[in-house]
Amino acid sequence: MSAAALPGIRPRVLLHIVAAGLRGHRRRSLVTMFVMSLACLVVVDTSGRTDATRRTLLAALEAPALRVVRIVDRAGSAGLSAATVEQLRALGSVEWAIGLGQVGPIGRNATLAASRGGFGADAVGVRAYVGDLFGGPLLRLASGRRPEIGEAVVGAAAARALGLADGFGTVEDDRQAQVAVVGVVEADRGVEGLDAYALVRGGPGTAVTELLVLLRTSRDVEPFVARLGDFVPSREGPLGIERAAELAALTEALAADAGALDAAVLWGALATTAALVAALRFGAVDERRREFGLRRSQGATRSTIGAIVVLESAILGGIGVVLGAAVGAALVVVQTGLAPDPVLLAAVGWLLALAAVAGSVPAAVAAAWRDPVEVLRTI
Amino acid sequence: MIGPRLLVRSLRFGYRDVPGLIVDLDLSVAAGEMVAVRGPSGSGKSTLLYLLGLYLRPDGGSIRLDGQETTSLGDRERSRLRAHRIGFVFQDAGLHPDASLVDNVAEGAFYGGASYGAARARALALMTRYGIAGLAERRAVQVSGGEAQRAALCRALVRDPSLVLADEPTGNLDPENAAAVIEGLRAAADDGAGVVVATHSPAVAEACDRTVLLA
Ligand SMILES: Nc1ncnc2c1ncn2[C@@H]1O[C@H](COP(=O)(O)OP(=O)(O)O)[C@@H](O)[C@H]1O
Ligand SMILES: [Mg+2]
Repeated sequence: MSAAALPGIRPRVLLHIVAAGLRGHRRRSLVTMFVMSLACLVVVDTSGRTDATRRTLLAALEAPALRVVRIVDRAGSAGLSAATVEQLRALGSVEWAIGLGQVGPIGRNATLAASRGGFGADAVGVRAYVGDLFGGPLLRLASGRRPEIGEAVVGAAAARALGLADGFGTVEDDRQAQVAVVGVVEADRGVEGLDAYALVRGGPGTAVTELLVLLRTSRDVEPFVARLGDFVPSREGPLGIERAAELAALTEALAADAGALDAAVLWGALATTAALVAALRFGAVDERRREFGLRRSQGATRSTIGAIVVLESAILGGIGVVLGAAVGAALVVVQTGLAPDPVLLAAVGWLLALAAVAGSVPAAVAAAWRDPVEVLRTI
Repeated sequence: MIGPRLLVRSLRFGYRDVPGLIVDLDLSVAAGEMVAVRGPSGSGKSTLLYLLGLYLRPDGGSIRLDGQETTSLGDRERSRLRAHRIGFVFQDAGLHPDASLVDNVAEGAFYGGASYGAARARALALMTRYGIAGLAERRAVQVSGGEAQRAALCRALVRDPSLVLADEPTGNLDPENAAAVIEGLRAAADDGAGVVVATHSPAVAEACDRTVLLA
């Protein structure tokens, strides 16, 4: 048989040698493992906390209040209508939309009006609306029922001003028209301005001067604003467009800080880990010149020697990473109350284990290429 | 097997500081033959064994092992030939101190592809033959020099070698242990290996079939 065709060491025997090497140099093995655990712990903890902050920011960003766009046609010349609201509601990026009429008449409790006469502090603004008031997360019926066309619900503040605690009664406006009030509506942040009004459900012909639109995600806000012109019939007057003030700041914080910090910590840890492992493994390999020389004299190839060194590091790195990740994850839970993202955890673990393997390569090459005769002469 | 185990022709080798250490050396070792290499200290006995063990590359000439030319082979193939065909015994046993004696012996079969179990079984069989089976699970540092050297001999033989090289194998041993090692080398030759022993000892040379003298 030609020399090239002669079989070499079996993988399981190689693992035997690796295991014996790890046991035989227990202190060195433990130090390497400890360094790996520590590196993994630091990275998991840091990136876990950064990630928790980012997730908190992201959650804040998706709060409904930050996804609201308010469009006001101050001049009343844009030609907005109930049809515009329907068009907007049909958009995929729109979760919810209503249209509001001008604050026209001022109304007060018809029953109380008789006894007091004149309009004062107990009067509220009366506005028509179109669209499904309760079809989104921002408005809730606190008491009473949903209004039919021509009926009204009142905001909580308006209900107090009118003296309609349970939301049932009649509002009489300054033109003597009377509207039945059938419920109280509770308005969340983002549309809190509606709190002060009596909202009269309007029919298809209602004139609209203000739109309240809730987008599905915060990322939909800017594209929606950019396309808004497509839905405004006439563009003569200027439209006032308002969105949550925190939106821009939060988006910026997320894009810049969180991402950059994460990457810097990770790269630093990977480089440090690789360097530490390289130093530790060089030391180990130097201490074991005799062992590797003897193995070469028994027929181990260079690649077998290299594989022993790399496999030892891979095993130590693997155990170290798992221990470090477990402790690091526990720390993150204690510190933030959020469990770290398992994908992030796995990615960090793999990268660090790879760094351990990469760090061991120079020592493996040095061990493999050492001249065995040097060792044999000193046996 | 027809032809010698080892056939060396016109072998030349020198170190940078010691040029011309080996010049035009011819040597043939047949199966069953045991050859002594003698010469004063520094004459190149160890160097010759390292050349025959395929650790060093000659400057010229030919080394055939079982008819196969080895001088043109790469490191991987030379390692494989060591693993399968060449057993080496040093002056010092050269065992892994913390490994058991049987694992040390079994290592001689590892790099040639034996399974762990098979290598240990063969190791135990040889150790029985050389009277050290009772020490199989002892760590190498816990046995005497003579016992360690017998284990080293077993490690050389466990791969069933074509060629056994021994560099002053009795140099550190008392006469009784030395005799056991010489007996072991002779037995390896009787089993069909070619044996080359570098030695100062007249007793060892006497036990050999032939002596090659290095100047
Ligand atoms: N690596 C080396 N580099 C240079 N000279 C060496 C080296 N190894 C051995 N020598 C020299 O080569 C000569 C032969 O050494 P060696 O083969 O060990 O002889 P022996 O085993 O017969 O005592 C000695 O002079 C020794 O100093
Ligand atoms: Mg010598």
